[in-house]
Amino acid sequence: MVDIAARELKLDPVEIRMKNFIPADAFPYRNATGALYDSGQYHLCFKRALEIANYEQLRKEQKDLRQQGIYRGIGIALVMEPTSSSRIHATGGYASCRMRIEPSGAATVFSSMGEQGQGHETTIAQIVASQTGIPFDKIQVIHGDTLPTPYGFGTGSSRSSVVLMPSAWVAAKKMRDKLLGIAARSLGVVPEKLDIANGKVFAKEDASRAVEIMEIVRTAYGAIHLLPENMEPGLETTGYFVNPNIDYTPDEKGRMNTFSSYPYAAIVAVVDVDIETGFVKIVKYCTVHDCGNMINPQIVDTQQQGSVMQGIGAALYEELRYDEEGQLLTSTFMDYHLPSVEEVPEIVLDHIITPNPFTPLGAKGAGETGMLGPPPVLCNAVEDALSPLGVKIRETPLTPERILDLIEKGKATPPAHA
Amino acid sequence: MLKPISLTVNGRPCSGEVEPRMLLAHFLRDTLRLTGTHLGCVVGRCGACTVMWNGTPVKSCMVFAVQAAGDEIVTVEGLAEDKRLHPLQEAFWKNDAVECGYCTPGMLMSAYGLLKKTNHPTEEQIKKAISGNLCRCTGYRNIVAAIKEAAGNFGG
Repeated sequence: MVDIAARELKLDPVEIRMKNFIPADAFPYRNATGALYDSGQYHLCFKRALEIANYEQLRKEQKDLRQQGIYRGIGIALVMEPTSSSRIHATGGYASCRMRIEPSGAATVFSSMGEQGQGHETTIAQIVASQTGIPFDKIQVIHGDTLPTPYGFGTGSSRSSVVLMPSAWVAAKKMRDKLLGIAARSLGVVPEKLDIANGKVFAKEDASRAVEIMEIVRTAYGAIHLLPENMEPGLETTGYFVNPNIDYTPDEKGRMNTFSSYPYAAIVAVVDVDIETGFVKIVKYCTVHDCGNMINPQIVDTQQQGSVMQGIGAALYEELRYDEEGQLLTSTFMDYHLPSVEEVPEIVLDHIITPNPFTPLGAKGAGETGMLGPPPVLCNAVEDALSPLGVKIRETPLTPERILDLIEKGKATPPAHA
Repeated sequence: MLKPISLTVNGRPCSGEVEPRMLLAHFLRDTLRLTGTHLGCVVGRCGACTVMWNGTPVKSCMVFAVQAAGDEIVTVEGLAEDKRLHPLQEAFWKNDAVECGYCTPGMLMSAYGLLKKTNHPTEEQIKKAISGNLCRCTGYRNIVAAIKEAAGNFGG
């Protein structure tokens, strides 16, 4: 759409974007429909993508290759993904974790959301370890069974880092406060002047004044006469996190914000299109992603990589195709073409970080932004490659058959913008 | 009519009585209860059910159990020894080559088949070896990296 507008207005596709991006100092930004974009640096992100792709050089190479009869195209796009959907009776707007430190000194966390490979067991344990000082490998995360766990709304809408992880943080923070409270009494130092590291609570001003966490655990369970006044025995806490920026009812004009974070990515993609076969080859795919603070960068990168490949599948290969009788023609993996390892192009992943101001961890959703990129950016790239042939792309996937069709149609109608 | 079969699975003799049309994948999972072998598409495309059959990786949904009578099968359960992860499994873990884990047993067995034959495969050989194994989560990059890393530590 943006590229079409650029052509109509005779603007460069980079220029039209730079002119229209929301400036970084305008966030949180409420758009026309009421969506409240939490944070972003679109100009910076987009510039970074152009830089890592070496955009100017790409345009030069494109000219040379055109003269050699190679149809190279360059696509650019900035995509944004509303994450952590929060609707009444459907997706809640909150999540919770319960945790306890066992008498053994290990910790158990009961998560309200199950995982199917998103890495909750790792990231929840990271958060709890950093708050409570319990070693990472002594923290067990239980999920997927509501007998022991709190109720929740399920993993989806990239909400784990936006609501679930903050809820683990709240539970762990309450636990931290309790550990510090018990230590404060035994050390005679106010909790504000204490810190936790290396299995101990210690006075910030004099680290030799310290008490082992195991000692605190023993006190909490077995020597409750040493607890501060009015403190309950045991070490169990529950953390709820409610997304604070959600509208549950629309305003008088029907506007509302139903998502709590808006990660985005800028992409530059380079393709070569074989006009004899209609085959699209991705030469390079560069993307700069902003999901705020990353709780675990390795997990974010793996999810990005997978997410980009899903998007490439949607843009180039995958289609639920029906015949005129309504018979599904792509009902198995033999004819529904899920990308294999052979279809993986060179993908360059990079990040900028604009923390989400609405959660204590500053994280936005991270799992799905990757897959929003390929459909627009590859359509833009292929249209750019085939612009001398007057090709206009309005649907995906860009299968060889469809590309050849479009080239035929393009020949029939002379290009308006070549 | 049931057919008695005997075969070696992960180094141990196993036997059972099977319908002639029973797939090897179903025999492994349902009769021997070796549920590490996953079943995805059951049309030979996704590769989740890959096992070693007499030293070669095959999709066990494309083999009848009776065809494997008297033969040697290695499943993903046969990789770890003495509760120690196999170097390939270790490399998958270290390289974050697993998300949901559905494709993982098949990926491991295809990679195992490759590394049995080739100590130091090229990236192209790695890609070819797992091109019959689909993964929806990871985008493959970490899987390729893991296999590359394991190739250096592969004892056979």
